[in-house]
Amino acid sequence: MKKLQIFLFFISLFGLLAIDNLHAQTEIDTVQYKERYGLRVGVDLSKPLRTLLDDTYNGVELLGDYRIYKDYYLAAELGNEQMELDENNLSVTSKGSYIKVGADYNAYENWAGMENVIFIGLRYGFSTFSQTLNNYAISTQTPYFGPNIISTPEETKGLSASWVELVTGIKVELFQNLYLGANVQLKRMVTERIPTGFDNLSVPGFGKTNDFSTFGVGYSYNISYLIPLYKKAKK
Amino acid sequence: MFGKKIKLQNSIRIFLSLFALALISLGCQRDDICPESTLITPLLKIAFIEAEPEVAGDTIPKIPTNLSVRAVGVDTDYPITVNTSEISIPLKTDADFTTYQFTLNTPADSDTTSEGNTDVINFTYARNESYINRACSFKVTYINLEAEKTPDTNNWIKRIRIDQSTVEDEKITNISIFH
Repeated sequence: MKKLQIFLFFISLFGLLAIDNLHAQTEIDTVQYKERYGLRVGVDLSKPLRTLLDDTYNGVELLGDYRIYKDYYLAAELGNEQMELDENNLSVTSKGSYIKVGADYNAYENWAGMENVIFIGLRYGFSTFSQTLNNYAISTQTPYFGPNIISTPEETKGLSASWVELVTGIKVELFQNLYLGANVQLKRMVTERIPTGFDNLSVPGFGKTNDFSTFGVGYSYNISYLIPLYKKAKK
Repeated sequence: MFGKKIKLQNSIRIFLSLFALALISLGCQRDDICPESTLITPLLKIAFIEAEPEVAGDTIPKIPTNLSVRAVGVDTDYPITVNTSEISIPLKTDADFTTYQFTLNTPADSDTTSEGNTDVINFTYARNESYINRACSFKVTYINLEAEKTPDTNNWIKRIRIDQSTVEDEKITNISIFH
């Protein structure tokens, strides 16, 4: 089921792009105008909001991108997260930092003078964290002896994970140099160091893992500020 | 795909379809329920065998009449199918031993005069905890299983044989009780 969704995800992505390419029109610019190049730095808004609303969550994320060539940007996110997962029979807390590095491609044709972004990006994410097994119940077929719940927290430090991430989203210039952004992320785990005799149930930066596949999903709302460094004529 | 620019309408379409797909995959998590087919903490499988077969060495199942089973320290009988030659009972997951009373010819509740014949077996073992998945949590499997009956003046159980000292999948009979 999950695999099928992932498959459909890519099919729809490439399918739509293929259709767009067929109908894309070549336009000739008659007016020359200059575009700003620079460093855009920002902060994620959804994580502090979730920190306020959800007692079991704590998180911050800084993000930035640097326009290197025309529609290509180097991009990175740096964050720290602590989250608690409460399943029916067990509860874990994971805590740690992560970094994601990659590039974005702006697929949006702006009108003259506008610099909004609709992007597709790739990231490589890496996280180091600890996971605490807060409590768990032994699964039995009969309640004859009553439940056996072990509630001695067990922390495993030195865990790590790395993944690749496909990001797509928008960045809209609200005021001069100030951007509001939103994106969704599809992730695939690459390497993982798991606790002995257990598993990583959630990874900072990656989010909740899945028992039956290596995929994960995420989202971000963010606000960022463009520090213009130089201007270059658009060709 | 990076060669040509896309129009706003199409960009929004891509974004929305990806967003919708991400939401869908967030929604259908099949991690939440522990499927019944999952092997969780196994039960101990016991077979009842004829102790004195006509041909020595034959293994003939023998149904213990009106057997009832109760763990020492628990107020109620463990529900088993009455009058069958094979039963499965749970072992404790928080101790390295479980003691059971096996009562043959259990009188009906209304019958206060007659008494059944109760034999006590102490099962000892070592426990292994292992992680299954997030919905099923952990299970316990047992190794080095041993069973010892407490001798009394009128034991209906003649002897006990360990067939499989590892309790993990309920496929194999662990213990044969000869009576």
